[in-house]
Amino acid sequence: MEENREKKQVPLVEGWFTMKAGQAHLIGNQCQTCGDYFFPTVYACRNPRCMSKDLKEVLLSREGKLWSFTVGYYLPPPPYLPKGTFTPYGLAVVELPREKLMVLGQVASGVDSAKLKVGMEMEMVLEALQEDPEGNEVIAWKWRPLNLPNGERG
Amino acid sequence: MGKEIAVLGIGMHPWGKWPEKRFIEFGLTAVRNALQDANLEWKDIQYVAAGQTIYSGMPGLLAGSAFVEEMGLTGIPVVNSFNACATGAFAIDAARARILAGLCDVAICIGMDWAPKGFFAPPASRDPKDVENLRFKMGATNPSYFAMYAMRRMQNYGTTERDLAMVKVKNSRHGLHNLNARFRKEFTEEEVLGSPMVSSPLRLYELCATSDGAAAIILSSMEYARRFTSHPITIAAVSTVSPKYPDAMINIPRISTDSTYSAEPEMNFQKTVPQRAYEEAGIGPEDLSLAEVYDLTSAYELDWYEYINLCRPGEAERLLRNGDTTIGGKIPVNPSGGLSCFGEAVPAQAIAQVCELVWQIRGAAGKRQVEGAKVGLTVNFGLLGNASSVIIKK
Repeated sequence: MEENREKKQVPLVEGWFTMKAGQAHLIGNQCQTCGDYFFPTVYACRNPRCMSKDLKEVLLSREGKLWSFTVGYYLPPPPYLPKGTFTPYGLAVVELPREKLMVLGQVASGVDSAKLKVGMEMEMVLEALQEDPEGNEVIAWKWRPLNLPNGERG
Repeated sequence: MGKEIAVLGIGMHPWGKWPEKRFIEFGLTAVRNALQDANLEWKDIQYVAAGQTIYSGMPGLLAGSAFVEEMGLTGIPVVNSFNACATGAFAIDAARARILAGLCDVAICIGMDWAPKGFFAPPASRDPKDVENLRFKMGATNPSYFAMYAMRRMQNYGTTERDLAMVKVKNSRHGLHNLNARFRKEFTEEEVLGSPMVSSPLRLYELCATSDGAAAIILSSMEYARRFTSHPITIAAVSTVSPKYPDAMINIPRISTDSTYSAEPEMNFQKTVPQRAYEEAGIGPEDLSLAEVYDLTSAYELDWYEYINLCRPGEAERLLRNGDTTIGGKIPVNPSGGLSCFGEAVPAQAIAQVCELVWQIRGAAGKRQVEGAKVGLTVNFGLLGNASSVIIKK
């Protein structure tokens, strides 16, 4: 039956992150000459003072600091597709301390936005973002607080 | 100043929403108004620099060409370009370069737009790594980005919800008497704070709407202008610089920033754009009579006070609360009513900002006149590192 079928999971973009549940990482690259990191990956170093072609693929840090966040209360236009009925959703920008770059993503579902605070520790998780027209679950990286009081996990 | 050019005429079609009309209709009104204002005829124009509009198919992408087709073919060069919110200023930049190079004497810049209602949505794309499409899949609408910067401002400087509402109240009073503005209604703080939350902490009345409208400006060499007047209003600077690596800002449509591993972040380009304009005009913020800044949100208006150096970081709220940026204050900001009263007609907006400065400096702004206006600055920024700043003076 249709409803018993396991939905096929596809990444939002092929090759942008590992699909290992629990240990998800964004895939970037690092310039072996100047040391700068890139996400998404680049063909050659984008630092105009460097421009080296010597780059190495690296898994980016899964944890970082919350730089800013917002909660969207209105349904965005396509290609956004709500999962079922639209409910407000969070967006967060997180600073990765080792790479010294920031990454935008949705806030993981179930996180109480009232508990988000600029500067708090966040971790990356994988979650369904939407269903594509073929009925596959489109998986993306999302952010959730690392340590909520009382041992809560988001 | 060998790099000055003259403003001969300005014209607009009022901003609003006309779902059944075509963008060219708005352009025809704006251009006819500008020609009348300059006391010139269409056949006198030697160059057209038009901004593209992305919602009207091929004629929109070739907006200037489609426009001259309807206005009248005179055989002159027509350039069509798009630089997001700074589109109009890039048209001015192109026309100015032609005039200063001696390739033409008189040119017109046109921005005209018909926009859909509600959130801006991305154009269709075949590229699976198109961040513009990806960010929308994540729900990162334009107001989401604005909101995250507003949140940072509140965190860093203690900006309050009342401060954000006060920006809207001020601009609504300014725009009340502007017949080209779309929203001409005075708002109270309570009304603004009672409007629905769109993207926290920003509410509906603190965000700019999407509008239809058109603006045109006729520019010429100083020599050509002296046929009409001994003291023309001039464009003293046009700055269109782009960001420098490493750019640590998460501006639309980015989903990540550059890494600052090997070097400290470069100054963000919302600061370098007006700085370059000041340098080119050889003036400073103390010389300004007024400014038109890009208030995509109330919080951005406060950021601009600091980026254009009206005050130091964190002091914008004090300027606002003191009434310094209200008409009658030390340095009125957005006397036109700003995007708050206009909404945004993307390719026309940067030209509309310049039109306001020209009306103000002529002393022709009626009930929203800034007394003794002599020098004004515009500033704006939009998608993918497009920003501009124009300085106008008598």
